Amino acid sequence: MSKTTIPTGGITADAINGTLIADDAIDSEHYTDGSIDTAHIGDNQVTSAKATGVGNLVKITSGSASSGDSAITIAGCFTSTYKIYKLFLYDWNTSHDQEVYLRWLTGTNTEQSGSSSYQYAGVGRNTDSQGSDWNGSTDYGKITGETVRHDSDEHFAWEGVLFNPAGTTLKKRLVFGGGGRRTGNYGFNGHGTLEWNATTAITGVKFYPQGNTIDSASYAIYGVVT
Amino acid sequence: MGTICYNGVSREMTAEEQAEFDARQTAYKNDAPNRKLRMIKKMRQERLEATDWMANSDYTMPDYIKTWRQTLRDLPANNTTESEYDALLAVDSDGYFSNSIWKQPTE
Repeated sequence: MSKTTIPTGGITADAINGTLIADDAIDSEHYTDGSIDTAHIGDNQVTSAKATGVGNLVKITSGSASSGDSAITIAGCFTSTYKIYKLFLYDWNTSHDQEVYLRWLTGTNTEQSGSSSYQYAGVGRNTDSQGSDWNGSTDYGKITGETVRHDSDEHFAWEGVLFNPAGTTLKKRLVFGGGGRRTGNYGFNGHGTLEWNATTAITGVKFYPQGNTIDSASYAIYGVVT
Repeated sequence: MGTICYNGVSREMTAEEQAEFDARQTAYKNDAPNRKLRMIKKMRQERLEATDWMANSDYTMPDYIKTWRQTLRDLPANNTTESEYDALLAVDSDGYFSNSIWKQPTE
């Protein structure tokens, strides 16, 4: 009798056990949709590498600058998919003591630099027991109230929340906070808010030092499920 | 041509990006004296504010504080060149401001 002629009815129910199935032979198409339950997933087996678009904080992009780069441009990271985005900037170290600025991008990669279009205000404190407050209305957004010291073992770290970048009805609002060491070797922190005086959809962001170049910097951007 | 980090990749700047960077860098260098003076005024203001409470009616401000505060107020008038700004903003090997003007006198 040929091995290929045994009809299904000729096989006893539950007779085919694991020993008769070759390793790595069953493709996922043979599983009934929605049939794999929690009990059939081993503990600690679902890693971040196997997950995307899950949870309430969804990673959009991340990366690092190389020494000598003049800026970090992140294009195409904001869409209408999320109403709120979390931005992280860290390990920021520059070739000279510098303030830290940002500008928004629109369209594919159009840098927005309208006169007085970025209006910001922040409060802070430094370890010299003095204030680190700042405010302004310029063609860039100033995201810290101090000049960040550039020593090799110092860095500036910052996080911001951008609300509804894809909207075209309301002006764009960023709320943020950060800290580092300032010129004169005093630690500082500060938090503030920045309004971009336009209703155009924002599609990206550019971080850059007041002058000169970046020694190191990393970033990460997440979408917040609302 | 300089480089820029674009979507996580370091690449040469486009001509437009380079022009923007060059303009920013030129403005940054040209603004150096003003930037240093702003820092001096910021430091001065911080120290004046920190001792403003001594001017309250229920406290007699010591003469050495009055003298120091006046010296702070006179800093921009008495220091007008970039080299004088640099002297005021000099830092020690640990990065702290080393000019004695920034230290509040004790007596």
